[in-house]
Amino acid sequence: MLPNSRASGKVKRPIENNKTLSVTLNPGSTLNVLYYLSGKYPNEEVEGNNLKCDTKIYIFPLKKITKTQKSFYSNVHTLFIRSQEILNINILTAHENTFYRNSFNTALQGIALDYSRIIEDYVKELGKLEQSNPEKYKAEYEVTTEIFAIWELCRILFMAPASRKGKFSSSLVYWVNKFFPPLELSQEEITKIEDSFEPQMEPAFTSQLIKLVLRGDVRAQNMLNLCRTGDETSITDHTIKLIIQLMNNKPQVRDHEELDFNLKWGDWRAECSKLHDELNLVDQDLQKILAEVLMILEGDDHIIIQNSLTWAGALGSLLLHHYPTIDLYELRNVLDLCLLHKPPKDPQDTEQAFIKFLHLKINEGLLHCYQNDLWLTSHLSDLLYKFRQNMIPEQSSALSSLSLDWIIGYREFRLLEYGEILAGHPTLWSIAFDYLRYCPTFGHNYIQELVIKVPLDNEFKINKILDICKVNDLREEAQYICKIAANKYLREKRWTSSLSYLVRANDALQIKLIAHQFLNDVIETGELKFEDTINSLPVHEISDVSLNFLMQYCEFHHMLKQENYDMAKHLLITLIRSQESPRKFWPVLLLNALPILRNGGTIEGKPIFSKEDIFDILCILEEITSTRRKQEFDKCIQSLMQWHTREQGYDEIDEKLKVIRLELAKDSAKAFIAKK
Amino acid sequence: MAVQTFDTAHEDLIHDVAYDFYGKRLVTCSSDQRLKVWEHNSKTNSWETVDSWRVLWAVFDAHDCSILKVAWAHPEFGQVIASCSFDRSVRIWEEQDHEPKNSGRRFILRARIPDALKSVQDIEFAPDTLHLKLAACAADGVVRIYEFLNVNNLEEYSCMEEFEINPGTITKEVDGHYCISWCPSRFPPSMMVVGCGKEAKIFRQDGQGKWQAYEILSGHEDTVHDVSWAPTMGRSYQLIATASKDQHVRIYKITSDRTGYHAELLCSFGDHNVEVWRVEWNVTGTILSSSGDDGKVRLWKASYSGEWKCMSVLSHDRQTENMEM
Repeated sequence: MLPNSRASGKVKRPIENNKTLSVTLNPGSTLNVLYYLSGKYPNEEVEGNNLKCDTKIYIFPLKKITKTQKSFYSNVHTLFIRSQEILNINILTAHENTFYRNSFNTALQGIALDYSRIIEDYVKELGKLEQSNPEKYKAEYEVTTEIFAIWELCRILFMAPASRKGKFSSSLVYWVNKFFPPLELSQEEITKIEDSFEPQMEPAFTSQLIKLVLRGDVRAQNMLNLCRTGDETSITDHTIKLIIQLMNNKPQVRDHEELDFNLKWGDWRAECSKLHDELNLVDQDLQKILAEVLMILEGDDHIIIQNSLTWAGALGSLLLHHYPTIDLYELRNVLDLCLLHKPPKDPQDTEQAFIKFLHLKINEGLLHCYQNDLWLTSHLSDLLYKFRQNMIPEQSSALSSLSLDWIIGYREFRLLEYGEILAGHPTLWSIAFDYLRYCPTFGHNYIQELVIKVPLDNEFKINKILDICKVNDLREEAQYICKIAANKYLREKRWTSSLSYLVRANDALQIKLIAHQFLNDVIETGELKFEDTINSLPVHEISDVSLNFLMQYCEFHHMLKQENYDMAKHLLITLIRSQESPRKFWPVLLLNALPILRNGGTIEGKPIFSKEDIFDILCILEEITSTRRKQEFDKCIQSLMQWHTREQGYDEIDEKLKVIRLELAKDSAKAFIAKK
Repeated sequence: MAVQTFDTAHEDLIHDVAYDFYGKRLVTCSSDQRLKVWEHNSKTNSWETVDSWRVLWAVFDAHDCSILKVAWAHPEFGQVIASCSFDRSVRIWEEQDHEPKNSGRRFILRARIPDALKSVQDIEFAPDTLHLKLAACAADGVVRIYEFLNVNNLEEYSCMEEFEINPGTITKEVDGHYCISWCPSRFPPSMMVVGCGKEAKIFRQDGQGKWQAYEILSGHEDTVHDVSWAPTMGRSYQLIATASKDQHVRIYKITSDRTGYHAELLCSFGDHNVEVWRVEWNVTGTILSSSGDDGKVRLWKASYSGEWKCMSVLSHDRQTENMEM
């Protein structure tokens, strides 16, 4: 029946546009989406179809892992493994003891710091690349800088060792200054100020000085020095000198115990206040500027916030000048104050993440991190989980508000996603499985599904994949992969590799088929083409019965060559009796007996083959030559007759293989005569 | 990010494109009666043809014959492709490594299966745990499941099972639209979802081994154009997506307990605002893609709280919008 004819008349669909967009996802990698214009209905079903069509395929990369990212992901992978090993030790030892928990925490803090260093190196590398090729690296550089900022903030808030309050505050100040640096003046503006007779009159001078004082930047002192007249007796110069001295003598919280620091700091602030009260300069403009500087040094909230550009800048300055010993919980109040007066304008996810983390809303912070970068979310939630798991309940901690159940689930959710992306990458695929292995709920299922999707490009890669299967106890998947590898090499006619994988796949049936194919070659040509293949296989792989048969057959011919007819005889009988010998190979085995019968010599009074051997040989011969089996063996014997000829150095044979009976009879007769 | 494109050089509309198991090869089919196989060259990051050939009804016959769907078998069974056509046949092709690429002989026809009474609209190979089986649904309203008993000789096949999608109903070919998707789970029972007209049904084998319709995925107001069953990945439930003429993408959750299987509509999205023609899950069943007459591809993903949202929109004119999760 021809394709277009139908029993009843067919009505074609009138259709203006037979095109739509179709999509398919790359099964080997979540990273690519393929789409194309496709026909909704076959041409045979439509009329009025627009035949002009786009026949292109479009492949959109959902995520591209750059060369620099690849290197970064590889570097941090070892830290992930190390942190997991530490966790495993902790679980195994299951110490409730505070000492062990603290040791574990110390180890994790070290890892958090190592992560930080690697991220920082990555940022620096991108910074250099961005300068030479901004178009290519700008976006990645910006995102990575944000990652670094978030990571460092979380390290300060949640992963740092318990320490004096002042350390916490000064760490935050450092963080603000690093990631929210004040805008720098242009060189032109700097030159103008430096060259001016009255620098304080320059428009940019005051704002820049205030910015630097707010941030505790020592360059503020240089700017103040520019305002000196040079006359050491003048009140202006004396006042500026005192201010600079105050700045230099400001007590540092890291240098003192808390009580001691509070006393010293109180005294120092009093000195700032006194100087402020006594301020009396001729130059009123300069007086105003110096008064503002002193108010900042005194820690005046209002002046500090008023002069800060952003909530983060205000926060850092307040911590530096007013709250040097703040703790995590007081921080929220100060933060709220900053956000109230300097609310963020259209905050992006990174800024939202900062605010959430500072409010100790870790889960909300992590959700914002996800919009930024998957690596960040997955690794941050992993490390936070480890810290949270090890949290000593009696001790108050920033992690107290983080639900352990939530972080366990969220960590795995993101790690699975991260692992899946890596699994589809041509070079990062192997580290994916390390991540998935540490996802207790679904990790094993993901490994099962994704490991078989890794393309079997070469033997090295195949063995690597099989190692992963072994580590994860995936026997079925390993066998499946071996089968596919075997098929691949079979098509390439790489017999040794193919058989090797078939043995590992436990595919006895396929091995048998190949073995029979080899034996067919012997029937067709008389040559042992498979000899090199068998000899190349590792000894332990010859345990398969079909391969064992082939090996023994090669060994038999080897014995014949060495004229070791006695051993050859025993081996031949084993082969004849073997269940692995295909029936159509029997004529070959029987013909293989001829050289033994001719050259084997006669043991005094005995034929070369025993009567049991002769019986088996004759039974098989009868089977082969009987008329009822003619069809089964005819083709084989015809093939043998092509090459088993006198010209080739063999006996001439006929369809009845009479030469075998003749030689057996001769052998028996000789033995009889010898006995007589 | 830059979109990679290459021209298939088909002379008419493409009807289907299928990746192989590893995503390293593609096969395309068209109304120009040709099948084309492509391979990814990782060194040049380009797609190169492996072979291209025309499917003929018979060597001496020149009838036109659009090829509607293509599918790759699991690599365990070799490099095997199935194609189905308006000519009511399903064909099985196998790669011959000894033939040169682009010779037109690289893939040879191993089997031509002409059982269907009307055009074959969809085909899909079964999960490899069921060995080499292929399901084909035709406009005659019948799903046929073929098994290839000897992987080394694909000419030997048999139609193991055959069942009517809507028993007792006569469907007009113009209106009848069918699509199938196997449940990829390696655990029994074998299941598939069949889109049939305005419904989608889940079929399973009963105690006697007969395929029967069980749960109906309800809520569709017009033809179901496509169905896709997500990989399970250890979840305690199954997910099935449908694309419909009623402009909606739907996701159904299938659960099971002692009383049996239950299907519930998890979410429904009308974002395309036009007919939706395709849905497909990614390898882990965590991202769903959909596409339709608006010339847009939408990607859907569940947040940690389990809420499904559109995470990205790709336009045919290459604009991309990334949504918030």
